[in-house]
Amino acid sequence: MPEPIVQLKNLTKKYGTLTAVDGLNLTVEKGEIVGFLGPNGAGKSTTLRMMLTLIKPTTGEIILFGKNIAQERNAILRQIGCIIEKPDFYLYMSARKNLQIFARMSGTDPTVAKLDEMFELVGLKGRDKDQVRTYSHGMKQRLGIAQTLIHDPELIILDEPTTGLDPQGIIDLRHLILRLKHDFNKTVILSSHILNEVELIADSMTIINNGKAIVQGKVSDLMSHEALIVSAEPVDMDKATQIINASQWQKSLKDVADGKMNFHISKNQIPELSAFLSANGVQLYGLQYRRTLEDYFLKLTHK
Amino acid sequence: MMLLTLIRLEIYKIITKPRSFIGFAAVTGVIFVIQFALYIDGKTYWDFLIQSLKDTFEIQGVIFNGNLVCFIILQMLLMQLPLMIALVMGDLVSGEAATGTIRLLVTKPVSRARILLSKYIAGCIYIVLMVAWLGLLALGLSVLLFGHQDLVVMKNDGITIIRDADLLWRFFGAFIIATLSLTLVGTFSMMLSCFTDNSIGPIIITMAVIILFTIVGTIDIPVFDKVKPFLFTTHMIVWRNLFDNPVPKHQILQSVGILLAHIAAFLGISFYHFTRKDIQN
Repeated sequence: MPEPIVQLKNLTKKYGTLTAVDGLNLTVEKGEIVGFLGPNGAGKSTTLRMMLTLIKPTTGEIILFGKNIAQERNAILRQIGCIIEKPDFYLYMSARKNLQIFARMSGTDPTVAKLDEMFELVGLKGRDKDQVRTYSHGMKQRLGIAQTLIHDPELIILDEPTTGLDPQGIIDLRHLILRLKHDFNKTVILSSHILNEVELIADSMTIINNGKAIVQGKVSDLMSHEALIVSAEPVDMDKATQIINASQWQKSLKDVADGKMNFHISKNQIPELSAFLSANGVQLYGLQYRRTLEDYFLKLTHK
Repeated sequence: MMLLTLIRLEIYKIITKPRSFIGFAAVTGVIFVIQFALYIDGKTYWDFLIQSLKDTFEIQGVIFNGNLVCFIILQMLLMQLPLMIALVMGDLVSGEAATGTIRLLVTKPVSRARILLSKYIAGCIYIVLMVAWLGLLALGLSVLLFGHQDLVVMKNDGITIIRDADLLWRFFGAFIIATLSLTLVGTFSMMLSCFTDNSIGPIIITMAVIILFTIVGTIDIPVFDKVKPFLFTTHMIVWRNLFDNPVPKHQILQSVGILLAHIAAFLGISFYHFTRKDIQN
């Protein structure tokens, strides 16, 4: 089995008494798109910044491409392209000059054709000679992607890349990230606080909160429809409670809150539950379902 | 990555920033104004300066000449130039932090020490160019406009007359010491720049420190006497001693040593902090 591209081992960052990242372990395989999820302040950016040597870890190890970043920083960073927080450039220079500068700093001297190819790829052809100060946020974001790719890195790290983008910009970026995986065989780590955004493109995901990894796994497994929260809103709650408590559904009843009975069941049990309630004369205002991970993540982000 | 490439990139950043030309424009403007005023009314100004000496000495020859104009300009400008230097050097690191580009720079496969060194060298090149421009206008243009003759330097305790043939090396030395002094100011600004995320702070603090030290160094109050040798501003004006006869070489070398020690200390602090700091912005 090939060695993982990223291995974070017991990574911890403390600021005085505050622990921003707490013993985090993470593994990323080559060619994956990995979603790094968590509410604001969960420790996502701190973790990514540690991986990129912007921040020094308090304890723990960062192994990228099989090398320890503390010992082989430059060799590792040569293989990484990143946008951290937002794509910032020299506003008084043209996009082309910015790209040239950051490419040279990454150890490559791009040809005119390579620069043209990058501007074409990110849809900025024709605007490359304009000063970056004239760019919209979406255009800067696309220039940021070009900057991450110009030196042909193995690993691309994108920290909240959709922040500030309009809906079309988000869709364009999503397609671009998918192209990076499929057409260029890149490994992408994508941080976000929006579950849906990650679900649509990531192969696996890690949810962190208070600096700790809470959920890790393949998106297909984690977002399975096997485990759902089904909320039934009965017209007569007392009657519904009585009937459910006297039936086999009582075992699946998770809780009763805000006039709703929440069941922990699978998707194919919904018609059965609906039929049972109807057969026993329990009228409903509505019957809704959401996935348990979604429910859990909503609680994290809305607390 | 080659340090030379990094330096080239940093120089490019400096020359594409409008603020880098403020210093050159200010130096050019001030020198032109002084030269114009002295060209029109220089003799009256000179007569006023030597008023008290007229009864004691008989001064002959073209005393009001390009060398004297250059000396006057240096006295006026060398304490104002630090602001121009701070504008650029105080922005070297904090400017990148303020715009956010520091995040991209520091995630590139170049060590932080190299990044800072390239910035520092580019800043020093800017200082050398600024002093060279000052020299060209203050000495070159003044000699062209006013001619050259012996230099009469007014002191608190009398006057010193230096032969025209003995002047060029003194001016050259003065410009070297000026470069060293401005490098010290630049290094101090850059050090402050490593500690903050906005460039206004380093510029203002640099100027505040220079003003404070200059005041403390100038006022003749006994309590300040013990402090004066430790203020770098005291040693920044040592270039004037090159126009003494005989030249106090030991004192000049001592001051140059102190300026270099300050530069080394500020540079050491800058590197120590920048290579270890967490980039949070």
